Amino acid sequence: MPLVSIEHVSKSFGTVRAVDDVSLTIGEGEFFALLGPSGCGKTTLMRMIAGFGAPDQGRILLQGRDLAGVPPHNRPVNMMFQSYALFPHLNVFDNVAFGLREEGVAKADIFARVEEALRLVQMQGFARRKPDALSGGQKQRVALARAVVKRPKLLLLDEPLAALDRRLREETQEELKRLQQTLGIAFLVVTHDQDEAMMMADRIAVMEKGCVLQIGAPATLYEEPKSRAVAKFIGDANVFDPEIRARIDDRALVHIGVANFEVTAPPGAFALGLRPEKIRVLEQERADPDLITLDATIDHILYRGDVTDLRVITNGLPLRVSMLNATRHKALRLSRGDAIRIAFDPADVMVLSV
Amino acid sequence: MRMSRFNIVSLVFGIAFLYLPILLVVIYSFNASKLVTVWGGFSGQWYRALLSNKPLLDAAWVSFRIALVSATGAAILGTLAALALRRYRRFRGRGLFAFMLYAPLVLPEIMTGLSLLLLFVALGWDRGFWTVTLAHMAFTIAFVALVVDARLADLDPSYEEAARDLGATPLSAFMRVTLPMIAPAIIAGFLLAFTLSLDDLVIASFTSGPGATTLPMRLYGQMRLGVTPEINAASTVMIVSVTLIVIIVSWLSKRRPA
Repeated sequence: MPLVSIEHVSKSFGTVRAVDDVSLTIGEGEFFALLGPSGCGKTTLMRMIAGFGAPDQGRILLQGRDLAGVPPHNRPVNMMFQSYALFPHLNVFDNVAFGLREEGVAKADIFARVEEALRLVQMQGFARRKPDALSGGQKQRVALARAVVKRPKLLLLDEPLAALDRRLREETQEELKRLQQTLGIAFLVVTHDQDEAMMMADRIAVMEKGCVLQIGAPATLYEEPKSRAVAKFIGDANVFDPEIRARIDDRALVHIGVANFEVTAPPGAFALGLRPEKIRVLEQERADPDLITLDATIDHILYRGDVTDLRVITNGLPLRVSMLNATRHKALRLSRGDAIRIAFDPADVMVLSV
Repeated sequence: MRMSRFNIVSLVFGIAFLYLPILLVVIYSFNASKLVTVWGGFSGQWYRALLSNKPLLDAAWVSFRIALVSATGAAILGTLAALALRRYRRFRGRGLFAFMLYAPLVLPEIMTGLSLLLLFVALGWDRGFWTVTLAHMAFTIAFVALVVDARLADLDPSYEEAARDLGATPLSAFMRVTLPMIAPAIIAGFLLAFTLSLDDLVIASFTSGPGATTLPMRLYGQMRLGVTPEINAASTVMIVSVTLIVIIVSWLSKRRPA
């Protein structure tokens, strides 16, 4: 039995359908991410799990028990708010102890558990500080300690890293992941940052306009996106509307630019996607005969150190190519307007629903 | 930016216009002469006389008790009204409720006083301490609600949600999180209501009865028999106490929630 089952949940605000028939499950101890642009309904969905707002339709089950009508304070779920919402009139210790005191935990146990939670986030020395006297990163840690100290079955994190600067964000991503593994409780993270979701989550639900587009492991979403929207939202992709030259069962002969190749596709219209790093820039004339080679002209060069992003044009078709700078000075040999040869393997081409 | 000569002159005149009369009252309260407008040297005798003026002291005690009770009531009811308006964005009659809550801010006091008098007469209540207290409560609730509502407006709802999420019932979340955070505004509202009650002459005149003469009523009564330096002294005491309260209120409203 999954820890959380969301079954056909919908929620509207006025005429806006914020969450539209969403179904998903979160397993015990899983790190799950809801990923999507702002306004896609991810926060509304998370708030409904916490008990802030009830679904108009559908059910939310926690370990098989319907949560309808259970108020937020009776749900074995805790949430870390985007603004952290540390109580400004209480010091760090009292903030973390708040939930335990509400629960009626014995005084001695409260002390031990708060100490333990603060040690977990490396904030032992700050118990007497007021939240106003903490930096952004420290506040985030205290908010995390306050949310895990009650040992919830599920921890909800609303944009947990949005308020931190880039360097701190990367460190904290690793720490969150480690913390989740140490505690063994399920995490549900809401984020608009695909890198964040990819690096931390076991599984990701990509949301758009209230609907879940696809649920899967990061690698699955990246390498096997089902739709054009997912391919474009997760990572970078060249997406084409191919000309279908012939079809035999689920095999289709397609034509893009000057290339013809076969793909396996379901009946009906489809789009094709190709990740920029799956396109190779050939250094010698001859290439593997299984590859499709094309002549291209460099239109633009974006040098990024580890990789060089090229915008090339092949037979009027613009393409994004990402070249790994595996040897020194590799990028220096290229300049705008150069004619190059590029190649890709038809097996790397992704078939997408339109 | 440097102030132009015109600005300085208008500032000086403005302040003089506002505070010169008050300053005169304070100065003449230390007048040794019995004549109000003739300076006869410095003396504290009128303050001593004040201390032995039994009716005036009784009136001051009545005013203080009325202010304390009515401000406490107004603080509680005004806070609840502000919470209702903030929390429940839409309920039947919300607009009417908000209008009725804030109407006393602009309603002429004489109308408030007269209508309350008619009400108390119709109900057959003996006028006295409690009728004045109720009347003051009725017209100061609006001021408390205004101050508390301003604080609630910039209070992030996440705080109370976080408390609920951590296992607090709605009541407990309010008592342990929201209330401490809006406490400065409630105290400021209370002090505002307290001074408004202390200052009020019109409404008290309509709703008071025998045995419940407030300080402004007593001063006004004495003044009709002629202004004495003793009244100046009493006024000075009131000015000083009200000024102190206003300073505390502005300090409380400016302070960041801690």
